[in-house]
Amino acid sequence: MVNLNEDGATVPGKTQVYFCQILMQNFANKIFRFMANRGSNLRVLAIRPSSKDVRDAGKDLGIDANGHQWPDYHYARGRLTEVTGMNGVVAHPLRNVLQDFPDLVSLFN
Amino acid sequence: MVSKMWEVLEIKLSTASPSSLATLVHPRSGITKHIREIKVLDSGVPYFDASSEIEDRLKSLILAIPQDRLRALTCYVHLSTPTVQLLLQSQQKIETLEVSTPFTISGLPGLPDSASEEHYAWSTSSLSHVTEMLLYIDPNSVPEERIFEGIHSLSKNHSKIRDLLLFSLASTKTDVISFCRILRHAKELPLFSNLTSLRLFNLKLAKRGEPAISNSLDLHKLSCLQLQGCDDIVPFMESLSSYYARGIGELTWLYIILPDQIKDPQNSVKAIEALLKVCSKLIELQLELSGHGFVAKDCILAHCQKLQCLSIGTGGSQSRYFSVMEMTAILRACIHLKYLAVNMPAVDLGSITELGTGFYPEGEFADMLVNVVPHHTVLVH
Repeated sequence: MVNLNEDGATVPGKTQVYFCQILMQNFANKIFRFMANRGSNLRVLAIRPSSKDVRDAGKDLGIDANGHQWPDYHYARGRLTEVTGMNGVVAHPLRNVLQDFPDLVSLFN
Repeated sequence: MVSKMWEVLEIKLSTASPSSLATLVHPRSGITKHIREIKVLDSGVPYFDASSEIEDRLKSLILAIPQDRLRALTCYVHLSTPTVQLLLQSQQKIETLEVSTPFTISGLPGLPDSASEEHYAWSTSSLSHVTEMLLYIDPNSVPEERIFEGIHSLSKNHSKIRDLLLFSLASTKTDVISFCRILRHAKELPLFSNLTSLRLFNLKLAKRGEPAISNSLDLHKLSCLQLQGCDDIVPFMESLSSYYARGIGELTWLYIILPDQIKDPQNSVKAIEALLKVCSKLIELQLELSGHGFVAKDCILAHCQKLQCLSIGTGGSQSRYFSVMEMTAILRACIHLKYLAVNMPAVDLGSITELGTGFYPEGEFADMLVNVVPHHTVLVH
């Protein structure tokens, strides 16, 4: 379930696209970190929410800055080092999952 | 490096800019000599939406490729007979042909193309290297004998065919003849002796009492079976189960997507379960049974020693998922699993303004993730 805003009011299309990008990035980061903390070798995470309510005036949502379009979001496990030297696991957005991971072709067809 | 980069050309011809197309086909670009496979990404409905502009662009691309370099062409926008003639005259080493054109519509319905019978015979003889082909069938407007003749002719003239795709142009909701009824006309049995992959789209498969698929098609080398959008699946699956129960065959890849509305959904799921019990060599299993539910977990466990890819879904809007206990049993048993796609319990992602305090894996969702830890790739629905 995605709460785009708390009062459930409609938000403009571009804002919705951005909201979804941020929420999915946060969701993917949390899953990769959860898995990494338990020793998982999870390489790729593909998210396809079942909710059909996320629409822009009845039309499909636009494409976000990562090249993703609701409901398909793809990430690879990545690592990020901050200026302070702290580093951690992050979800790296995949613009074209099959280009980077051609072995997943049967899953995505 | 350049040669590798241009080996597969995926192109949306309707939106490609004239300048990029001009660069692509320019004799000095040196690109087209490297192209081995063209995938036209424009969508189309076979023989209803001929688009002369897309077709013209494809023609100029084909003309720019040196003789006999192309190995594969995929194009679902309808192509006229002259365009296919142009292709076959210059590219006779094509192995994969997935195109919509009168030649690939089994039985040749009355289309405006002139001399289509002659063209059919000529096209057939031009494709001696083809191993993978898409054939459309139209049970609404072509008599079943003629559809069968088209399939039979393909089998007879293209003995190298390993991968056969059949796509029905008629809706499964209408009362059309089934695939097995069409195949009952087979006299020299079975057809397609080198078949390793059979993909059936949008077909009614078999009615009770119709001949078993294994009587009509040679399935002994079949490793991949894909059924998508098909109806009347129960007798078809039962006949397959009887075939594989005899211990023959090497089915390793099974992919079934059921439409929302099918006849006898309960027995359809049971028939799939029965097949899974007798085919224990699956490496890839992908099932999307819509609202008709899941197969019993024991049917998946039957493949636990070999299974590398498992995808079990309900097709988007359904919120059903395997319980944590069932997933634990499946994932512990499937020790070679590399790829997983499953429905997950619903989660609340929180609010955009409170990312730090929003979603964190917990409860059933977290328990499900913990099961995936030993495996490599997960696809969360």
